[in-house]
Amino acid sequence: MQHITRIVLLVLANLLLGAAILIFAIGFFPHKVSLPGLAEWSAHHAADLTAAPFDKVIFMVVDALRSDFVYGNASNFHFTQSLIRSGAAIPFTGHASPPTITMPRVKAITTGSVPSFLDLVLNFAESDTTSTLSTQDSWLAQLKAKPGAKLVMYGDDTWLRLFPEFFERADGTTSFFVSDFTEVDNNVTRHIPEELANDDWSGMIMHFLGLDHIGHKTGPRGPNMPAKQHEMDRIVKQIYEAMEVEPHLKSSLLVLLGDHGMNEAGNHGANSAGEVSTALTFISPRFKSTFEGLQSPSKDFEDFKYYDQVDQSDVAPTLAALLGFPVPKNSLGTLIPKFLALWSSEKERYDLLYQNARQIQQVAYATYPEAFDAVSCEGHNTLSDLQKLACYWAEIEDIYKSPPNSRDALNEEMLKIQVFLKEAQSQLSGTASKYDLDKMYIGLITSLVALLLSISISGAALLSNAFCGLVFAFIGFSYAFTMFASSYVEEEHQFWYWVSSAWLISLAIKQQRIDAKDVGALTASGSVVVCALFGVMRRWNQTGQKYAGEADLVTDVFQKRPLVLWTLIFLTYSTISRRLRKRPAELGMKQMTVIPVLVAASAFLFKVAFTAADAPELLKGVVILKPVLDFANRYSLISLARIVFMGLGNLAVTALYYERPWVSQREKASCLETMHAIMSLFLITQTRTVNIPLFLIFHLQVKLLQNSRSLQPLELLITMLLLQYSSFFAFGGTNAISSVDLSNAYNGVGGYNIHAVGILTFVSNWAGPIWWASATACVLSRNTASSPGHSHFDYFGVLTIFASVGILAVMAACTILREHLFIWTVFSPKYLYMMAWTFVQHMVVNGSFSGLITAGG
Amino acid sequence: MSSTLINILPETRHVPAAQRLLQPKTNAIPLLQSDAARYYSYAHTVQLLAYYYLRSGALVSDPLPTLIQDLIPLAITQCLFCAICLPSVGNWSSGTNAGELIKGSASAGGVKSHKPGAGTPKKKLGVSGVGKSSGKPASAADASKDAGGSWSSRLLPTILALMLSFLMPPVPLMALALILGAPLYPTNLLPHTLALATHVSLLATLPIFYTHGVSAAAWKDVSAAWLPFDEAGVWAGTVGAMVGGWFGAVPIALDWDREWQKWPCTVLWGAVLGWGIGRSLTNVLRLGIGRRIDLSVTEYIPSEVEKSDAEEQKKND
Repeated sequence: MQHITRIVLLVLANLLLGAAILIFAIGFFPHKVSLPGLAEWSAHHAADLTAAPFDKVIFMVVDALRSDFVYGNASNFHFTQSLIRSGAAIPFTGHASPPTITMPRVKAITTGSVPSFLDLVLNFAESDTTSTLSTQDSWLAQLKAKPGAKLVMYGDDTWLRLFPEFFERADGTTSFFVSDFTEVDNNVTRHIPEELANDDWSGMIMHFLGLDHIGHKTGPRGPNMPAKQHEMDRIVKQIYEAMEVEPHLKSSLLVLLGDHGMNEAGNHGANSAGEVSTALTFISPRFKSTFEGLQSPSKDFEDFKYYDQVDQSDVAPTLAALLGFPVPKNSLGTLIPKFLALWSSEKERYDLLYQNARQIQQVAYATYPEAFDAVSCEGHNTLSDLQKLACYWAEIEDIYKSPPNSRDALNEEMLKIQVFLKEAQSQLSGTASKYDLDKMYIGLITSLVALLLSISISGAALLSNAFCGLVFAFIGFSYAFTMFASSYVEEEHQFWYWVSSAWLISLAIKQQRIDAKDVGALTASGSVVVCALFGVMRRWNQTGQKYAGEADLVTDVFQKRPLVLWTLIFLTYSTISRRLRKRPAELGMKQMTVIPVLVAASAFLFKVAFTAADAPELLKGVVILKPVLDFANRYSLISLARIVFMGLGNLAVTALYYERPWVSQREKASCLETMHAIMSLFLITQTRTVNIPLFLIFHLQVKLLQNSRSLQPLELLITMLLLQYSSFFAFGGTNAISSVDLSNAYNGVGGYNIHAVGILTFVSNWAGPIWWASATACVLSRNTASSPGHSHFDYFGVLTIFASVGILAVMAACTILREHLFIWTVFSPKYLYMMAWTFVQHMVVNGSFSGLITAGG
Repeated sequence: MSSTLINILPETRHVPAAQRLLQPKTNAIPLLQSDAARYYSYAHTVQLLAYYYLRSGALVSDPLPTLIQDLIPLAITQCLFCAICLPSVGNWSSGTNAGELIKGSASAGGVKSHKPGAGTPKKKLGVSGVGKSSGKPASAADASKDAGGSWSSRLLPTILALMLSFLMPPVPLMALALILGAPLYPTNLLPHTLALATHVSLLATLPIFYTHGVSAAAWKDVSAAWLPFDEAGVWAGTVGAMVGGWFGAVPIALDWDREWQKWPCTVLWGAVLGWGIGRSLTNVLRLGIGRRIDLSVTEYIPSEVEKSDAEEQKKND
């Protein structure tokens, strides 16, 4: 009975924890008001509709096109640079606000809004129609709304997911393998001549991925970069020449831009100067008559700020003006003032700016109705910034009703509107003022309650071993403390490595206090080897921000000597298949020993074939794998992955049937071990090739620890907790969004299946922690089977205490530091990671393994 | 190939083996009973802390040469401390019957015959080193009255201890530092790590070599962190240097962009500071003398039922 009460209370504590996380998130992450429907011209405007300079747009997105790639001295965009010199191309540096990843940036560019941080989460969940842009206003929707207008799209299929059924003709490219530098682009390029000949579209979108892939693989100065830039430049030339001669392209506009930049390591996601500075060039032969050429190539700038600075959200209102449609409803962008020169009369320019201001005022009104409704503009000093904005708008509106006729007065008024636009943009893009502190406090208090509850349920377990209890408290407090230091959030691995290595050394010291005669001196020295293996593991991948890109074992050893890597990988696979092969033999079914071997072999085959596509440099010079590769190449990667998954599923079901875990503790322990081996094969399948030998290291660590001494439950728990976190970082994980590894997220998935991809993404990023949870379950279950004293240890309760401490600390840090410069770049991503750690790793993974151990115990 | 390679991997053991706790053998190291010894033991702590403080600027601007140069004053002061304040091996009741240093180092076999734990009856289960010293402080104090011996007789042990602490522990300590996160890349920092390990070795092991020699039983206790804290501040200094060095790594990861955050400045300072704190607590404040570090290690002896179960299973396997 008491046992049941504890379980109920523990579940309650976890539910509270989950509720706390969600409530806090709602208060913390800015909620954007989004107006439905398409924008329309105001009635006033319709009377003197001005002719737009352009009627077609060719929108050429080159993924990760940093400003210096086009404008700098080292650039290979020679033709584009000649256009800048002649005045036919108007260059800008487009500021991409973080998160600098493709989906949120495409949203910003097309709708003009600043994507909320939650869009980042949706980046991976972008499939159901509610979160697409099909119902939101964008320049695509406006263009399409014109009578007879058609859109075509070639390239990154993000666009197809964001704008379902928008395109007359489309050919989406999925960015499966970053090692693909050419196919992804050829897939776009081959459509260009044909589409340039068609005259039925009014918008053509192209999104080239190759340059981004080169960046990810080899950095901004990689050997393939100049050639790729040249290739992109040739496409600009091809289109520009068609624009000059083809009559139906006479009034078309080419926009060449990057969705985000890249840092010196070739990655993106955060807010360094390289990541946020993109090239943004408007090109048309017609510009030559209005604009003077600019110097190009320009001298290089450290901060990547070339020519005029504009925001990427300015693209939407600018296109609206240039192509003659209303500014998309939720846009926070401002019309780039330079283009006003294309309209000859002051009246038209004034009207364009007014339309832009009116639209942005509507967004402001929807966001802060109270500031605009009750506006009394007396006594400017006491007004808030928002009220000042409202007053400013009231003045503009007044004058617009009876506009002045003189040119000077109009010019003055236009300056005024531009000030309003800039002010409104900064007010609305800023999010600091929009925290819902009440919800954040409720979240904090709820998680505190969850912490106290879990301590009251399971705190006693911490007293079972004085030293371990102290260590656990130390880990909890110091981890909570590091959450307040932005560098320790960025370098979280340092904390875990620091504690884990000391902990493993303390285990080795304890081993010295035990008589080695009972286990043998060699086995007793295993705990020292465990420490040494940890030293290897922590150097496998260089992670974090401060030393990112510096040498590690992967770059310094394995990429230079792939044969060593493949030997270790082969050893890892055979270790697991040996365990799986042994089991049927033990159970007296010799004929079944062949099945695990076949499954392991197919998994290895898949890994080789996958590596050939994902990281071909790892197979260079490994002659021994050539026949394997030739064989694997006969099948598609998707079917190979499916064969592996089916084989693993088959093994799992067979194991369940023959191991009969429900019979006794011993059967259960044995079943868990078999399942652990099957799970290991699955995790390896979801792991990047260079990281596979880490599983061999983990395997050795567990075996050596298990053999040297029977660890106390609390010792085992701390070891597991520390290694779950350490292994996450050893695989290359960080607290930055850019390090989410998607390379294995599509294994065996044909289309875009949100659930499958979501699960595979989690598994491939949390492979280490999942492995350690499973391994600990085996050890615990084996201990329970052999000495009953272990069975009532409150494994999940203690983990809940730790999870609550972590969450409470992250929440407190996000609340206290909400005005901190790094809140959106360091602390918010940490919060998202914490959500994944808690909801999936803690509640699902650790929760189910503890459930398995306790069940029937 | 695969099967031979795989057989290296250890087998799963189905029943946990028995684990019997050993007993610590070492006694607390006494401080020699003269005023000179007592005052010098205080002065020694202050003087080394002050020296490292004064050299901190040089360490930051020019780490490796400073580290190497500073080994000389460190070695001299540590030797003086040993010679003035501590009884040399064989001249006090260390608990491990190690004999004199010279004898001990000459014949390791002689030491080995005193097998740890051999013949010691286990009194009760579940004994952890709960702050009990198995040594007898009274007899240790008696021994230390004239344990210093003549100055010339202290010279040889001092030199031998110095040589041993230079030669033996630095490489294992360097391995320890690497496990704890000393940089492997860039590889040109490895000499720094070795120099750091030598500093720690002189701070933490030289006095132990001087007092315990190369007694296997004593060093077994050292590796188990099981020496009792002593009034001379030797063991607390050792523990303090290790823990302090560990804490010294904390500031390195911060984004303050200070020159002194580079390897191995903060770790060395942490080790020295920890050494100083440990010494002050035991040598000056006399806290916890005679107590040992409790790591809550528990004893486990399988019952007869479990043993028979295990054997049965072995047959089945």
